[in-house]
Amino acid sequence: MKTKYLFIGLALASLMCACSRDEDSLFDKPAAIRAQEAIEHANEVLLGSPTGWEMLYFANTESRGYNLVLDFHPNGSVKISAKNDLTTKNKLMTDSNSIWVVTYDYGPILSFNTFNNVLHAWSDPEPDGDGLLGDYEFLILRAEPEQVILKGKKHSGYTILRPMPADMEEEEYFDACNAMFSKYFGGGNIMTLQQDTNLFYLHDGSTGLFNITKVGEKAATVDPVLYPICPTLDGFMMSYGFNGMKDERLFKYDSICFRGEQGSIISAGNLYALFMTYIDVNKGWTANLDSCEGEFADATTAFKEALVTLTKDNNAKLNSVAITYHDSINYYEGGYLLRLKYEYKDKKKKTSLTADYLIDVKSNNNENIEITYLRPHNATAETWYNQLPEMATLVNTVMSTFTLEAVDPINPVEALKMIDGKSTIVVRGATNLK
Amino acid sequence: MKKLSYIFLLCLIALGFASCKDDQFTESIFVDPVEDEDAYTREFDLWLKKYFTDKYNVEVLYKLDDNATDPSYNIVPVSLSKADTVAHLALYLWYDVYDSIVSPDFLKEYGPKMLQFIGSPMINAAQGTEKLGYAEGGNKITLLKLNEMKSDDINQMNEYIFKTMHHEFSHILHQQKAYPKEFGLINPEDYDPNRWQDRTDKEARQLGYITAYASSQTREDFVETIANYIVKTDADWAKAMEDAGEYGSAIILQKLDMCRAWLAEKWEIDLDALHVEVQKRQENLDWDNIMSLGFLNE
Repeated sequence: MKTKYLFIGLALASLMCACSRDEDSLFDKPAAIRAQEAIEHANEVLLGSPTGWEMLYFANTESRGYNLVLDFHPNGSVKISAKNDLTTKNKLMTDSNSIWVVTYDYGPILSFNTFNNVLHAWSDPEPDGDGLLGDYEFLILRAEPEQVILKGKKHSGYTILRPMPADMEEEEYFDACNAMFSKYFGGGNIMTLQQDTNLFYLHDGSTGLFNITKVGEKAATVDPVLYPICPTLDGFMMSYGFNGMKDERLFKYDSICFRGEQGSIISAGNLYALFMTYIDVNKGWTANLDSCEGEFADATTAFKEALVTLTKDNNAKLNSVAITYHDSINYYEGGYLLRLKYEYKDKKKKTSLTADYLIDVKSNNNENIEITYLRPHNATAETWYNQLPEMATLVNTVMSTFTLEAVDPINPVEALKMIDGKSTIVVRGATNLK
Repeated sequence: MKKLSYIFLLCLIALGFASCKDDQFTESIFVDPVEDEDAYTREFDLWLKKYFTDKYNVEVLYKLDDNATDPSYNIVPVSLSKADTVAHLALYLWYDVYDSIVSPDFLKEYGPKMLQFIGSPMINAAQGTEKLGYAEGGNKITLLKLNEMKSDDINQMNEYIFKTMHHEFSHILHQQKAYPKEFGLINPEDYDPNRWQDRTDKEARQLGYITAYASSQTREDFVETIANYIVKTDADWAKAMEDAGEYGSAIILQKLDMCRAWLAEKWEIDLDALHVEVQKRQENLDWDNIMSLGFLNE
């Protein structure tokens, strides 16, 4: 019996010996040391940019991103600037009377722990308890001299810091980012995202929230997936990676497309598909009458002269020629219209007229756009077509088969050339043609 | 049996050795800003240390740590300038008042051990209410909405800050020595913790509560009575009693007597003397004196 207890005792002792204190730790250093090193590393990186940082700030996962400029000072103060339509009324705003700290929670945390008029504008809960739902405490996911990746502690928006370019004033930076935004996302541009073999349309980016739909689905008929973006000097950032590619956030402009870090490409895509999709989503294209050439340009000039002669108003003018789509041409059926708007004064009374012609618009194998005349859609169109030959000529110059050419490859919506050998009609995307 | 005991004893000793680990104790990772001679906030931190920590044994927390607040609310930190102003005002209209009316050691002994400043209110949109302050565990007071303080508007500061200071400190006092149970029996029928915000102050006064918030529950009624009496001018108090009417004012004054007696008996605090001293200071709010010269810089 005694022997039995002896063995039990030895067994227990051996169990304890089995727990060797020399066992390799999963980490090479104790937690406190690792935390301390993470803090020191983050401090070193944040203080290491002599030009300060651009901040691509996403307050949360559902709002568009905004540009800020930060300059961390070793004494614990931070200067933060912004210029946008949401929090600064498009005026440059700077506040350098607040502090920052890197502390440790479930990882290194960058905290702006006293109020800064610029940054905390996104976090102020007035008046509904939520405000703009912006974070001011960030988990530091990665800290490298060329890029710091942050994640909002409470609202989970991803934010990136990158060194500010040398010799660039803050206002110049904001203006350049805002210009990038306006140029490529402000005019209802539609882009194609190519990710491996998958194709998606990105549209309605003017709100800073791209609607993304799969190519092949009619954009206006499906619930879009919203992807917030933030402009940069050389492209834009998506708040979170698209379609499972979580690190695919930064897209850089290279004169023909935006390229993502992981290989995705955002471009104008096929111009013919774009031409048709843009009409579906945004309802139309309007001609830039000053830039057109050939028979179409001659026809617009002839129409204007005929209008002056007919109305005896030297200021009579052709305002616009547009191709547009209407959901209910025949009560329940949609259709395409060639819409001409013109005006003149009749006995000092201004008269504005709209002539709508029903047309057919189709893309032939994505190789050209064919426009076919059907009939006048309203009384004005019928009357003027029959009474003024110049009107008929003008309408007929558009009834043709066109190839397309973008003036700016990434932004065809800004200026797209329709070429048929006799005319070059330069059109731009239009979102309101009513 | 004796041998068996020895064996187990040996096992325990072995266990003890096995659990000893070569921990590497290192210096704290937290840097005391006061020790950082170049810190942007060093001057203010030293001032706080001298006038709050050393003198009253209270730590002023103005650098927001979100973990130290209720995470269900969205809040923002206080600005450095507002923190500076509020700290000075807290000394002038609260700490120094108790020094002169009660005793120099009173707040050091019974006052909160942590005073937290936050810039925004805590808004409960569902209820349509906002918190201006709260007291926790008898040792921490949080003052909210400080970024909206208007230093040229004594009524606004009274409503948002000074009243909150006295309100929350009264909570600290009754968290240490219970207020009389009889207080809650005066007019318990109209306490409404869920819909008090639907009442105006005037409606609440006519029911016998000094403010709408006082009508939420007994303990809020108790501290609201004290705080309002301290910060309201005689004219404003008289107007409140007029609003309350005969029925309401009789109840409020009965409650005020009970508060007065409790403070005197349990804490040796003269509520009327407190009221007079605070009013005197509020009337002569000299910002230059408060923020730079005067007693604060000695």
